Amino acid sequence: MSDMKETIRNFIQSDIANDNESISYDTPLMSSGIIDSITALQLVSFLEDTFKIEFQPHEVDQENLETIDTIAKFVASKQSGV
Amino acid sequence: MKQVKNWVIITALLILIVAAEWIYHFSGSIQLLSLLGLSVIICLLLQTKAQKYATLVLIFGFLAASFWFLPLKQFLSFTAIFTITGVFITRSKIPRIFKYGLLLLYLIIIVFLKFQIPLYIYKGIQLSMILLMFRALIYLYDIQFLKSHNPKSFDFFYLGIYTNIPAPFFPVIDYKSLNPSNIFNPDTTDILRGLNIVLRGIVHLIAYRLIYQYFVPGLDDVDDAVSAFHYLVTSYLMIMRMSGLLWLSVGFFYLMGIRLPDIFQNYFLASGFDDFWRRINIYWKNFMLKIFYYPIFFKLKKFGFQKAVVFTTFSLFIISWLLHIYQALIISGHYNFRLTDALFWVVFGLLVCSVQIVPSISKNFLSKNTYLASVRKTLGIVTTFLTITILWSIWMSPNFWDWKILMQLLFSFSLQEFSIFLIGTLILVFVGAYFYLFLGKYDKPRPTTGKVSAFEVTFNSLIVALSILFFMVGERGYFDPKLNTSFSKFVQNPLNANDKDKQFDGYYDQIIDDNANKVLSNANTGKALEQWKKLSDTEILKSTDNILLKELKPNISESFKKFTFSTNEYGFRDKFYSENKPDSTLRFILLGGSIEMGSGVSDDETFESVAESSLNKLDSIPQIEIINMACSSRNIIHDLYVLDNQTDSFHPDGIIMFHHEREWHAICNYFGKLYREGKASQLYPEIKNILDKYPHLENASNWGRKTLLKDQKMEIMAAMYSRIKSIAKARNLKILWIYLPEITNVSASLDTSLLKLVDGNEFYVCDYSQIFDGYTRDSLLTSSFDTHPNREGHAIIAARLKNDLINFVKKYKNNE
Repeated sequence: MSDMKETIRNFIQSDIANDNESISYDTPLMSSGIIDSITALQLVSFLEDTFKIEFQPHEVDQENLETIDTIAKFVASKQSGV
Repeated sequence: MKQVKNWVIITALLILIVAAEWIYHFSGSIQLLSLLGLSVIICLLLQTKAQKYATLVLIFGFLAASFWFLPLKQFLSFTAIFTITGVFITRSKIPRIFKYGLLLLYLIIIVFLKFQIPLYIYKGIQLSMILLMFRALIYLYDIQFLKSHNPKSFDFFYLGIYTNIPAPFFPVIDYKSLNPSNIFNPDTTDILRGLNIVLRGIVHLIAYRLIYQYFVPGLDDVDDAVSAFHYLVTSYLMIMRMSGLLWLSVGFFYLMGIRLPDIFQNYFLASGFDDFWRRINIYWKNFMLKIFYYPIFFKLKKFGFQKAVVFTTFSLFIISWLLHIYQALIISGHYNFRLTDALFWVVFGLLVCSVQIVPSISKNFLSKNTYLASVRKTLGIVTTFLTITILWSIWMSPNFWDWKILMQLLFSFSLQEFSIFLIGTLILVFVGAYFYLFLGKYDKPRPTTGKVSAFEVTFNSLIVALSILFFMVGERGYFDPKLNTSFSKFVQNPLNANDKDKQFDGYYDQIIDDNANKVLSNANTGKALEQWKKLSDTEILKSTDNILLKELKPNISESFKKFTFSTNEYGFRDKFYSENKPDSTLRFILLGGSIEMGSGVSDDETFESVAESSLNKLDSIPQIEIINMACSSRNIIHDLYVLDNQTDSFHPDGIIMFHHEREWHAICNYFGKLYREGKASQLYPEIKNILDKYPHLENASNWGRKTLLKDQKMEIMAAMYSRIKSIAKARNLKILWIYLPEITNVSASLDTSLLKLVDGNEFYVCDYSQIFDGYTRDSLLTSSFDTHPNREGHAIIAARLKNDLINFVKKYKNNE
């Protein structure tokens, strides 16, 4: 799980956030505006490719993508088929 | 201790809000005070054991608000229709398609069956749809994917949010993000935050009113690049009315313990088109993303990420346009397709898509806390602001031709004007960059929980308190009269020049008919307006195919605007006069429109009638007769026709003609109507020859026509007066020409070129520019929504006319 979180964090830090924004596992991403509609889709594509999961449109929301913790939890639940 | 402090602040904020709304009525038909009163009761109930039944408390709010804001019949029909629909949507197990079908059925009824079903049932369906139009779509989408269902009473509350009842323009609240388990328990911080948001809304509305009353130039003054730029910027700034009203709605949610995120984020500081889309009406953006954007993107992503994003983004703006049509259909019952609407959404969509395609400057560069990055950011802000200003003007233009004329004016700048604009913009960018360097860090979404910003509460309170203080100082007469008159505009918020023009065009008659909410939410005003019919909607006006003539029916006695309205056997609003003039009597014929006819006063109160009676009490002059041949909606072209064809048989000695401030406006409006109806060929040839040089006269709005014809104004007026002069000369008639300003115009003056023109025609000219000075202007109006003079207004005109007629008679007697 921590590897997964780190992989996600690295992606967000390098491809989405800027250098000034230090991203931790509980940094709000959507409500703070770090992730917007387009970058949410970039993140979803990254998660689908990296973790071999498939998102549904309604899953692209704050409930699943608000922090790295919630993203990792969501990806894990997808992988386990829950 | 903290709780006590919070309650003290809450009480102070409540007092400020109530006082400001009481004085200024910022919220208009939303009726903030009623909503606030109800919300405070609900908020207090939620502090007690009733919290256990929170959703029931809020359903009580729904019933109370419906009962308070609606007339009884509409209340019954609305609550019945909404409850049945709500139960059908939330409880029935039938497929979703049938639920959408019911909404579609309501839409069809609203658009096509307005006059076929009883009005209270129609209004009940319409208001139900106003509440359901977007939330039902969100609800039906979200419940497909919910892991656990919310209580049905919560669903009913969500669909029928009571604060939406008087406010058809309402935030698109998301369903999924409202979790009933952690809301409906507002603590003092929530209440404080909610009231602060309401105050924020009021600050926006104060800014809006300042701009509306003092800064937006009248369209008649927009005739070059600088004034066009001024008009565009101030028109865009009036968007603050929308944000103010939506902030008020969001603030009320906190009083229910519902912690909603910001609906706007400093939209004037958007540094790109996509950034603007992110900051303006955030709930709408989120609704569009959830219901349309992500589903479309997932269908298209097989074509590649970039292509799918661009196509989806563009389609989002087309859907936004269609949804605005849907919204307009529900609120007004009809929609006129406008090229400008389509153009606005397409151009906006293309601009946002262009941001996805064109590589942007590195995010890291922009995020650096350096002056250079700040300059780049500020440049983006200024460029976006200016572009959105132009884009906004497309949406706001009544038609494409007007917008084209506005753009032609904007780009008619001289080199000097452009240089000043460029230098001003650069100064703004470089100075603004300094501010942004230090303050930019605060430009981010506010938290929905935790400490409320003391700075913002203080700032908002100060602005609102200042507005109250100004009122108190003004009330006690500490302002000098000029400032007091100017400030009274802010307090009373009369229509500004542009809206007055729309009123004269019949725009408000249409709005009054169409805006269901206005009638729903304010039954008394609605009732009063229903009695306030236009002359053309009564039996008083005679129908005629002659475009040069408007006539009253003969021998009628009706009630018009609550006053007796009678005509003689010739169809004049006057007593009977035989065609043969009695000996030793001077006879005048009064020509003119609604003011001269006496719209809004009874038969014996028209200035013509009052002046005639008082003149005949004098011994110093011969017996005087004034025959009132005026009729509503006439302009100088009609007057000319009447003079030429109807006056001769009465053997007048003189003609009294009035020229009004809006004469040119009325004439251009009339030209537009003639061209739209294909009747322009009936115009006087010298006028038609001038007009035929201008294509699209029928398509442009009246402002567009006035702008196109502004260089021909004097030529057209001269042609009319030249004909009048010839007729007068041939029949040995003397013309008394009077300039009468509008009552509400405190700085009226007679146009010097017009004065020169009528002087040149040897008319006896009287300038009434200052006739209403020294009077409380509003006390001279027929009503708050009708600017015709009332009895007192007519008496003032009569007194002046009496004196002028004495001098007029003496002058011509001496000459004889």
